Amino acid sequence: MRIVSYIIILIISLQVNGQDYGSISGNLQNNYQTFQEDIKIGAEDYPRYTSGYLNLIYNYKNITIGTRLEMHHNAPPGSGLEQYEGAGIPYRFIQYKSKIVDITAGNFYDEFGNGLIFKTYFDPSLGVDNSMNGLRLKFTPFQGLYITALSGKQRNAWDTNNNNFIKKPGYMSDENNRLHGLVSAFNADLSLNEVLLKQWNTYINIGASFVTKNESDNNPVYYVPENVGAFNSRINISKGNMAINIDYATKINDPSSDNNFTYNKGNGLIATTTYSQKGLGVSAGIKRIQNMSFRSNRKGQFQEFNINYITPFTKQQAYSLATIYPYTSQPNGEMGSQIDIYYKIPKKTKLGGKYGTDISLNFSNSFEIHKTAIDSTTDLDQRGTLGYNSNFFKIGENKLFQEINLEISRKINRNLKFIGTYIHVINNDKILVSQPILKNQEHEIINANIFILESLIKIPSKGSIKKSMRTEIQHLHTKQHFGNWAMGLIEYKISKWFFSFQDMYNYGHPEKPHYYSISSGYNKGTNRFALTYGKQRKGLFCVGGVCREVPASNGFAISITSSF
Amino acid sequence: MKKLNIYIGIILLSWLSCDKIEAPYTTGMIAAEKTILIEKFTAHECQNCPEASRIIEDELKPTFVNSNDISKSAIITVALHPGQSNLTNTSKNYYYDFTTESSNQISDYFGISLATALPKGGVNRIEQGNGNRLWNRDTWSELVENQLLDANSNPIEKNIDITINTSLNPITKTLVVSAVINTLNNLEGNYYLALFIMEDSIIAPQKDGLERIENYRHDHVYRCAINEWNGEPITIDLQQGTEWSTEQKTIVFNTEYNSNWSDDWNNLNNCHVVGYVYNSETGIIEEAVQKPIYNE
Repeated sequence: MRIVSYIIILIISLQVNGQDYGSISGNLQNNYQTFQEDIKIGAEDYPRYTSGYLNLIYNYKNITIGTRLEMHHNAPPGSGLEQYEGAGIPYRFIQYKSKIVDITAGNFYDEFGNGLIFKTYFDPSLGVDNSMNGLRLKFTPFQGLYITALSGKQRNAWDTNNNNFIKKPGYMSDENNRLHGLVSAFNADLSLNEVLLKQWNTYINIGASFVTKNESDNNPVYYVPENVGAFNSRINISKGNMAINIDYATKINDPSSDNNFTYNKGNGLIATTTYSQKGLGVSAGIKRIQNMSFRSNRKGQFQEFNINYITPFTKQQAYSLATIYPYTSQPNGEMGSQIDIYYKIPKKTKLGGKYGTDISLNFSNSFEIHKTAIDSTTDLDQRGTLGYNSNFFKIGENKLFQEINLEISRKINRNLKFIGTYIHVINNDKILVSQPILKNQEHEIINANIFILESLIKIPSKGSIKKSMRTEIQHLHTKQHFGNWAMGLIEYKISKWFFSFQDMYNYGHPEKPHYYSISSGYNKGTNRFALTYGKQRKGLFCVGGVCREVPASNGFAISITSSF
Repeated sequence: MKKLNIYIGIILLSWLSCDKIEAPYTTGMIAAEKTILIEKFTAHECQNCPEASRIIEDELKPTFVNSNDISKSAIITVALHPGQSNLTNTSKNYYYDFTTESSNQISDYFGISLATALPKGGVNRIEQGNGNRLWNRDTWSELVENQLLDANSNPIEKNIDITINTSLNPITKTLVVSAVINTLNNLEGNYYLALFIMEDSIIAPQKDGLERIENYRHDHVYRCAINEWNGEPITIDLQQGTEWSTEQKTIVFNTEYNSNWSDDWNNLNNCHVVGYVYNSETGIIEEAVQKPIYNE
């Protein structure tokens, strides 16, 4: 691999003796955070945490070379980032790309369909980096057929055999099996309209993928499969304003820590339909997931070694109080639905006002899947058995989550816009067990009502200096968990500077903690500098249905991001 | 050309293959010469901890057995309830205090903190890098195998024999303990012997999954150290044929040794002395032994 890199660099260096030197691009992020003790919110005193990464990409004609330098120092305990302590280069690749082939050697990220059986990605805020290290070939024999074949091992933080600060990326290894941890995959996407039905006004795309992982059977108690395969097929049909997408996956027996070493097959179905016309959009979908946790290490936990990704079927919330009770996708079993309706009341009508009014409604829910014991002597999910029987069409006993979102957005005049939101959440923390609790408190079903009013104000000013202000008032009402919350935010932007102050006040909590923060920052082009002092609550931080538990903290944070 | 296609087909099949496993899914017994110690860090409000106990009791102990007596397991397990975790706090629903000063010291040694997700376990105190000796429950079986069997799956020879002698006065609840170490094979380095008391059949509430079990049976609970939490140095070189003995130690089953051993407490029948020898440089446990405080 190293030799190949040198050869390609040499070829490029010979080429650049001509006039074209190629181009370098990249981005940089650096974070620095201090931690002071705050007994009221449960924040502890930790050493200063520094983290950052630098992506560098060099492109010359059909060849791209990329690398990422990554560093974490003093990751706080309980943050889920401790395993990333150290510095090194976990990501480097060489790619050759033409109209027909695209070959990548080294690290790469990819996704097939919705990711039901294969998706690798990088999200440093979640502590996710399951990049593949190997070889990928993308082949387009003719327009309309797109084929991908890949093989490699997934990165998991750093190599744990090395106690030095400078690290090598962590990959699975077994001296008796060089294929241990190897993930291999094949994917084909066919656009029928490009190949056969060129005159049709109905567009049909079909796709199929197969993914297999190899892992040594090192388990002395159970016989476990050394090769686990998963198959995915999907179809997307669209005509006029409507589209239907169906994605189905199956996986053979894959006993693991996630499914308590049971030997059931897995399957997953995601079906969505959308309709849109001017001023109206409707999207609806159903999802059923059974035993679809798929990792290249059967003992993996949290974000380790995930090969696939279960798409969330809930609205991705951004408002602070709406993120308190999130829903994490349940790869072991969930069954849910979602409907999203957007309607714009036309402008210059009695209801719509001068500029029109936007209304969006979102409803989503998720249940357990139906489960019955495989026989009278075996418990549900008992280790070393098939685990359970399940009726595909039957909903399970317990509701896990439900959310209703109603958002009304109205522009009052050229300088003022209001967005009002109402959210009703049911979070079954009794089963999900994801919320921190107080002493003597039990996990329970949480019912919460959230009201949010956001205002966006443009402040008229002379010259080229732009000024604007944004405010948020939020309230969360619940009789469960930590009780009621109130929140206020004011943000002021002047030219490239911004200043903000916010306070989240948990006045239903026995300690009545305030989580205030004050921030300031400067943006110039693709560069941003931000300084924050404040408190962060303990809880789940989620992106796209994937969550990381964050500890309570109190202190300064500095963030620098730059792209070039 | 035809041959080439067959080769490509075989390569593709091996590359994209699946293994279907049919029942029974479990392997058989594995005989071992050595005895190892699993230190299980648990808590009464830890919902996944009973499942970890079941893994040890129902899977590991019946699988790894003593080669001289297959009715005995090659695994000794002790349940430590670390005071460093919120899940061991006492409350109205979970009123029994399982924590002890010496088990907290052991938990400190393992680096247990508020942020540690339980259950975790130490298997002969093997390290997984960066000083971390805490392992998740599904890694225990492989670690146990590596400690008991060599690369060819033959039992690893036992290097020392630990014999525990006990003398109990049930009236005064006074126990006199001593231990003798016989070296079977030469061992390099410095070694310590640690002795402690553990107790079975304590009935107290425990969270198990989503349920709170009022009358849960807590077994193998760490109760008190006999010769400090980290034991005492073995003062001879452990060369083949050598023998070393401790002095006699006295334990009284009263609240001075464990806050739960009140005058009403009467569970002597379910108490055991556990001893283990470890290398003081690597921390790794060489051998462990368990003996009921009543002579068998």
